[in-house]
Amino acid sequence: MKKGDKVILIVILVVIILGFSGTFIYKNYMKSSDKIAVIKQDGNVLKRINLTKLTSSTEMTIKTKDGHFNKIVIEKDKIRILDADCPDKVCVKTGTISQPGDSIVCLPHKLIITIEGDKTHSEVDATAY
Amino acid sequence: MKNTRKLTFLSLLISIALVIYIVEAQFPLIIPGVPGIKLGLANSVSLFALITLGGKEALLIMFLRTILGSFLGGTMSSFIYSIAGGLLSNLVMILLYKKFNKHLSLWSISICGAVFHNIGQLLVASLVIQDFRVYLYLPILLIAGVITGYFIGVFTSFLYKHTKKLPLFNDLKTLN
Repeated sequence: MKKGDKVILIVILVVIILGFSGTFIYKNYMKSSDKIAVIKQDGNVLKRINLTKLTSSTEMTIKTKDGHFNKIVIEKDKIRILDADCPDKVCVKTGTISQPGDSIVCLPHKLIITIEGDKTHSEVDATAY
Repeated sequence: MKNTRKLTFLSLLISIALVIYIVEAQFPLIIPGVPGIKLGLANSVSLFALITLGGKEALLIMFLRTILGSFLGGTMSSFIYSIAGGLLSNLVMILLYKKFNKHLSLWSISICGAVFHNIGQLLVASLVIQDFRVYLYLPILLIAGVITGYFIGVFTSFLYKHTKKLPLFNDLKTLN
């Protein structure tokens, strides 16, 4: 193993560790907050749904400008894409997401569904010591 | 006459890379929901061309197999991601090979190529959906990239070690 190899391996290891720990910290920080599903297409936010406060399940179909669709199932604390007419159906295969930071992406339809945490209305309204 | 030989050799390499690329594109997702994890064996052809012929030829092979592969393999939508990833990946590998050849083994150059391939693809994806959070996929893709990059690098250096003994390759070097 040459000198430069070690440098590269160390740099990549650091990047991977930073990446994973960053995601881990973000998810832990967002744990006690309300889960807001954000549906974004073409850079525009189409819908914001508070998953934590949801009482019943709904199904929604998002259509692109040229007629393609993504069928989304929204349940309490969970959201997933049920069906889509994109060629690879990666979005369908992603399955259900439920944690802040998780995302479902449909690149051909320029659609991204993410879960954000809403700390302003957490489950704990007040803490008393 | 010499140029015809180089042209023929390049065409052969492009065809090989093209077939590998199309075959790999048929494989389903290894990790559900995470697209783009492939062995990247077609990149070994570009890497091989880099060390036997040069940077321009490596780029040419990458361009043509991506364009033709997207035409023949089916989806044109994945084309921009492959081109962006392949371009960034090859440019980085060319740069590393030309400048740091003494300090780097081929497998670490290949790993860097794989890493920057993912970065390039995610860059285009983040611009398409206007959301930088696609980069959350990067850690997983990096791990896969390091593994596949290492394998491709070892494979290519093995290939080079054995083919450079052939007189054909000494001829090709004189064409540059």
